[in-house]
Amino acid sequence: MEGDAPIKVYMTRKLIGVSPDDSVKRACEIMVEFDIGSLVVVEEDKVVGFFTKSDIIRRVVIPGLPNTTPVREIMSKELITVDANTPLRGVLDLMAKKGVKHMLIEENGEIVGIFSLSDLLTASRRRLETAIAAE
Amino acid sequence: MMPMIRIAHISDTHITGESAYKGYAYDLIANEINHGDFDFVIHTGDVTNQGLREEYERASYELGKIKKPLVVIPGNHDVRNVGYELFEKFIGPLNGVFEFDGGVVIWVDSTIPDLSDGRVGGHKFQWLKKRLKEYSDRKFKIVAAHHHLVPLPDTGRERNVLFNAGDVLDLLLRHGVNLYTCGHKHVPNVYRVEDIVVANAGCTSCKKTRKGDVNSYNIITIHDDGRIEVTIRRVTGDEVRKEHRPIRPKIFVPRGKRLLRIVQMSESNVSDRVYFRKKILENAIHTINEKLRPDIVVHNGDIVDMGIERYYGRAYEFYEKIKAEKLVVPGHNDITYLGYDLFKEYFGEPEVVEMKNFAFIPVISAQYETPIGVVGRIGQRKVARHLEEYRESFTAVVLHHNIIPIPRSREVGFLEDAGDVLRTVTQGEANLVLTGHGGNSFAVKVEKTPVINAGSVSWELHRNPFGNSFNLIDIYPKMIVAFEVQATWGSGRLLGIWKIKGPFKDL
Repeated sequence: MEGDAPIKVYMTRKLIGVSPDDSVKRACEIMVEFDIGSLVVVEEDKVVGFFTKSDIIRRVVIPGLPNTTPVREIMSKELITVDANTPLRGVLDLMAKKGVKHMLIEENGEIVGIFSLSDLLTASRRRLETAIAAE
Repeated sequence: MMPMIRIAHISDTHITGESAYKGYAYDLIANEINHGDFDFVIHTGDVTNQGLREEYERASYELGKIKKPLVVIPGNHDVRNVGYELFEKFIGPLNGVFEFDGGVVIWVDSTIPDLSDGRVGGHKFQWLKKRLKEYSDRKFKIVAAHHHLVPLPDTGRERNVLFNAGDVLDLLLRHGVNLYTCGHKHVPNVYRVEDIVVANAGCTSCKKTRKGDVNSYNIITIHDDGRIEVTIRRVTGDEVRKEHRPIRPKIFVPRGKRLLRIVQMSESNVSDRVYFRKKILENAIHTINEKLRPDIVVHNGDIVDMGIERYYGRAYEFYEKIKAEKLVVPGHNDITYLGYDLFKEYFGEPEVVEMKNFAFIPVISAQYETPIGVVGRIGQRKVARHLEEYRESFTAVVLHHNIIPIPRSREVGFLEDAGDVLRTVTQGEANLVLTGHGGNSFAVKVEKTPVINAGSVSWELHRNPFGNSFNLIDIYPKMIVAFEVQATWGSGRLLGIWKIKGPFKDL
């Protein structure tokens, strides 16, 4: 990973989303099916919200809301975004300051990608695999 | 707002005093360019025929006939006879940047002195990366080099690709480059690779055209809304036009039930060598059976490390444990030694697998004792026929050798006729192509066809920073989603999501 490379180099350019009227249950099914920890909320091809698994725990499970609640009621509407040309170092710094593990990436006013801390774990997964692979 | 930009893309002029050079074709095209509405001109190399002084002197005069801003890139012919020094003297810098309103052309010298092959090696790769960082905020980024980036049809034996074509392709995709222009093989061709338009120019004024073709050049129009149009214009006046309109952002809202789940594996290389990671394969098979439960498991070759009975016996035991339907195609390792017979004895002759409304079409590309594969002209026709025959199904073509370059792998044209095979599958609108060579996972959509390569599932000698892995490909009514699954930890990494449309009947 190169700290001065623009975040667009490391972001995921394809996003999986739900619509605001989809239920929390449907959103959770999609998270499980694709084994992903966050979803964007899309209305007319625009990202209008975002939420993570831990948002569901905090905003649905603990307060005891039904899983039929539409995601529009539990999503974060204030999106934390960063420009696609921001260097990786700056993005990590911002994530640390904001205390978030996912960052939405913006280009010309549109959300075009997502960067997640788990994207950085590739090398450690490989090393741990090698450590236990030997007979 | 940026107005539309028009570029004349010429290539392979092969200027010389000898008969290889067709001066009248050059003059005709130069004249059209001068009278046309072009903002600038890109010449993607082989300006001269042998890189000789008298050729450069003449080239400098001939290029002067073009009265538009001109970007000129060196080709393999230009660097013959230490011509690269003359190129700088008579033409200009070997690498550079040309800025235009709203965009930039970054050109890079991909030649290797006295070889026809190409590479954007070490320093130049870093240089290109730096320029892409520097101009990251430009709306339109064009990269130009001499050698082609993805296999080209009608080139006979596919070779002279960039040795590190996979790395270059990955770099350009990550930086959101819009257009790659090149020349080299005298075949005009336009492919859309994800959102990059890869434009090959034919030859502008060389005698050596292919298939009895005539001289040509490309007219490229870049529209403010992101559309890129490429017209191949031949000296006869015939035109072929292609257009790509990128859709951004790429957001997918899954709808409907999953129709089919495919697990794609490759390079198990079952053996008793230290590089074979038995535990990882066992773990992967467990995950596949207990957690993922696919409808079909496709193994893209190199199921054993060597074609010997003992290894086939072990591989068979492993794959017997997989509960799902299986399709195994041989890789080059599988048919070494007695492998040609053993593969058939243990895994059978690969045949088309029909499942629901899906057809998996196996293609044999491995040859005896060489990592280089071939489908062959008869093989290509068979693939085309199958794609036609199963047109109403979702079609997946399955073979060992990669038909797109793979990052971190030295690309030497592993499939002899990759260019023709890529054309066969894209023209036949295969809905999916699965390959498994190179030891790294990679996926791109070429034209309408997603091409997915699997890394190695259990062989230590791989090239995947993620480790050993296999791919999980889910098909929904309107989209394909591909994840790479880490073979030990089961963690996923998105390889790609693509919208799909026909030609199949509603799935």
